[in-house]
Amino acid sequence: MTILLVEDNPGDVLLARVAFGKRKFAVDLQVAMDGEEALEFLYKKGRFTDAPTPDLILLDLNLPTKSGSEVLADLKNDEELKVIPVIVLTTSQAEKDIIQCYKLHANCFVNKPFGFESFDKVVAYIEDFWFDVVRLPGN
Amino acid sequence: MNPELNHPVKILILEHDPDDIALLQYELKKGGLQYSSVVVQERGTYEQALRDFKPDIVLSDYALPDFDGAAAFYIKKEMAPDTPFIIVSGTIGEENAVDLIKAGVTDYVLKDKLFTVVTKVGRALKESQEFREKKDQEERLGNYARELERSNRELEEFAYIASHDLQEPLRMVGSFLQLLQRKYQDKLDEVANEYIHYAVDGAARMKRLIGDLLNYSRTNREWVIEHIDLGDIIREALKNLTTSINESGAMISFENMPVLEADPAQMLQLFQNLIANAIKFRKDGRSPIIKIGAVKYDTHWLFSVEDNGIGIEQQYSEKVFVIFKKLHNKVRFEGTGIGLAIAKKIVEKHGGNIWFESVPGEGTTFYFTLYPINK
Repeated sequence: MTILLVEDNPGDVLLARVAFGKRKFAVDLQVAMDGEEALEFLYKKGRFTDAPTPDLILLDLNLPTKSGSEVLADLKNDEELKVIPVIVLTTSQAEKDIIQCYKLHANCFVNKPFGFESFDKVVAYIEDFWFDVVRLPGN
Repeated sequence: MNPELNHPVKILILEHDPDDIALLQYELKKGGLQYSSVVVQERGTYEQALRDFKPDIVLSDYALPDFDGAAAFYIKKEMAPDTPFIIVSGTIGEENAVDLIKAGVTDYVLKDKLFTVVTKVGRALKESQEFREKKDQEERLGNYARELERSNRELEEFAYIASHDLQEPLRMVGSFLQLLQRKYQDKLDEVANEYIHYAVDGAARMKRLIGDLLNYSRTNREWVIEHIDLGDIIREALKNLTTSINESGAMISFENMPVLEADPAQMLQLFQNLIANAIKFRKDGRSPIIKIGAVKYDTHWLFSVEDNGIGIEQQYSEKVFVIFKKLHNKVRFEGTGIGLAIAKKIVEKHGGNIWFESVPGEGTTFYFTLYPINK
């Protein structure tokens, strides 16, 4: 399983690595540090020509260059990429962000929890649901 | 004789009859008025004088060869709206005069009662001075209000952004401390684990404070007025508080709850905060009994939330409503100290007041008023 994590905070990237590393599924966690890089990765441009197509995207909202919601809008407007589930993972609790993300066809909106224990739990839920319960295209 | 002005009164006289001009000047001088005047008789020079002479007052004949007093008044209204305008005429009818006064003409003087002109000029100047002062004051107040509104908005924006962005680094501190503890617990000794515990606890508390600050700043940002039944609101609050009600064995009653115009989310928060406090600050060994009441007055509603808890000393009557102000240590009563600050903000936003009466050791009654909201 390949996950693309779009996240500019190295701390969050590390937390995600540790949490996914503990799980039963072997996850290839790819990371894009900003919005532009995420799109380059997904369109396999530049240094990402050999990048795999992810099965799932974890998307932060507050990103340098292109914001998370701009990336989301681009993705969901692309015939090929729109099938990849996008989980918005953000600290924002603002109702307007939640509504906007769903309007842009985010597959779900999750708040980054406080503390590693809770983060670990959220990662476990994500894995269980999206890799075990749900059927994804091409698998 | 010119108490309202610190210079001779500048009078613009619109009159074509030389005798009338002389009579008028005579009356003005006789009345002891310090003044300088410009006399004009047709439209062009009249407009020019309004512009350049900048009179304090205009005295105008009604029937002029070139144009009439009414037209002169409307020109003045356009060019110098605040300058008083008195019609001096022998021919103006009572009815005509009333119409002109209604249209905004300050006063009129009949030529056969020309001796009243000085009194009328004095009164007109005084009134226009008062009007100007009032207008200035209103303008100043308006500016203050706008400035205050702007700075409030900025402050709220700041609190919102700050609390939002402050959560990020804090989450890192908390998360990695927990991760450290989890991964290296076995390699660390008791003391190290205790240190980590306090650090994690501090980060978690800070997170709660920031969350509360965010809530507090939100109270003003989002604002919807609906027709709501406060009985329903209280029932919802009680549902949200089920756990603590069951744990404490609280008995909560309410009656006479009105239907009124208010923000439903804020009303829920208001009642929930007050009820939650009443449960939280219960006396050891005594189950909370909480009574919520409402009384209708001519202009407003008075609400009360009465408990049989530990009570509050009167000296804290202001402090309890201050954000993050706590009267107890966190071991005895958990919390950040925001509940009443938010309650106060909500009540004030709805145009009311909040206060309490209490007998320490016996209980507290919180009172608040709500006024009808205009949508």
